[in-house]
Amino acid sequence: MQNKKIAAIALMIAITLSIFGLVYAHWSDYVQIEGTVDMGSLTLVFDPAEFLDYIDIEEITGDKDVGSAKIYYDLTSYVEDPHTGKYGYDVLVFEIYNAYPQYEVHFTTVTLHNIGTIPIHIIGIDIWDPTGVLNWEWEVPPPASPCYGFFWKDFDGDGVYDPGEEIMNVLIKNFVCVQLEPCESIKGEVDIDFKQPAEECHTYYFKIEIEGIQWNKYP
Amino acid sequence: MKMNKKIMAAFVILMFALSVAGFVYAHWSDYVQIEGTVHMGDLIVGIRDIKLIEDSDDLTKDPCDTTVTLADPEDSVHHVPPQTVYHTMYVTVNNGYPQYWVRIEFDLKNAGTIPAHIIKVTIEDIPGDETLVWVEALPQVWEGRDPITGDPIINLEFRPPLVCTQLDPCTDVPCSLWFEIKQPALECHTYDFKIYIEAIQWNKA
Repeated sequence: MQNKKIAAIALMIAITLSIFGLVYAHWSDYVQIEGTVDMGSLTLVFDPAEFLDYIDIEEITGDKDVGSAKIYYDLTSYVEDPHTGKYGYDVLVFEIYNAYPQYEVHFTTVTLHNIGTIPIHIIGIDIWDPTGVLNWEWEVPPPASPCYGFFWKDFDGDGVYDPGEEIMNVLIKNFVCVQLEPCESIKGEVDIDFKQPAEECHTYYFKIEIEGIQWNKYP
Repeated sequence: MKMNKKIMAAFVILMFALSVAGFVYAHWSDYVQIEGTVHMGDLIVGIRDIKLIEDSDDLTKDPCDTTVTLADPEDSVHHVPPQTVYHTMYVTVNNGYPQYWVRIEFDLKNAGTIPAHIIKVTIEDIPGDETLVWVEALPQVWEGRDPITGDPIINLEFRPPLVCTQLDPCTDVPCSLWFEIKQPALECHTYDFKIYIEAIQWNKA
């Protein structure tokens, strides 16, 4: 009797499976697409192959040699592009010593290099004093090139620029709205001259950031 | 003697009975037969050829290239000359960047003899490189998302939509695969994905 029950259950399962097979079995075929996207790189650096140099007003006029400057790469900002194997530095340092009003320095060998694989469009320049002592004011802002402006110090504490508060002018040539193809570089210039209100025995700091974006995002 | 007569009579009756029965059942006969032969069709769906590869930077700078190759061929046995379709398409984007898009036009062909009905398109990540989570963000529009941030990395769609398309035998259906790299895609990374297009016999759809 027990054997008959087991046989009946097995028969029912078999019938059920055959019904499901009848319902779901069908011919099928497939197509598959395998996609691989290898992303490129966008890497803008200062070109280490460029010899760094400057010229100041004293050299131009052949006068005394009072002020001086240094220009060098910040070695901690070393960058190497993994695709191209090229390298450069993200930070270029200017140091000016013994400056005085009307002293001018021209850093003439500032060279940007696209060491990535995607074209770069340089969209803007930010200038600021990281210590907050100086304020920046554009006179001819980017995208004009050259673009220039000046740092001022709020001597009277009213929060706005007043004539007579200028510390130094900064002029930048060549970079804004330039498109750099991969492996292409462009040489520009940063000029600084000190204004009469600049204070004796003070040290002023500033930073210049050149911003590039992927070429196709520039309208 | 009497016994012999009885036997003879019984034999005669038997013979007579048999002759009567033979008269009833014997007749001329002929027959018809049906021989059944079923030649089964086949269901072969594949990509016939690549017609166009168009990308966003072809007409400007061309920093990024896309190559497409077909593999895994199958020949139909019912067609003369045989038709060849490919079951796998490899798409490789080299030096991709955000907002780059590519459109690949190809013919999807039913090289078999049975109408096919596309029932499903599935996209999944290929393990090994960067992981993407594929989501059908809109009907038949997929987004490959970063598994941690959820940011979209690749948008993908077929134009026209493939699901519910019916492919008749010997018919090519032009379609295109379009995808775009989104802004959160990372530099120097590799994203892989696999798309399955599944078709079944039309009458089971």
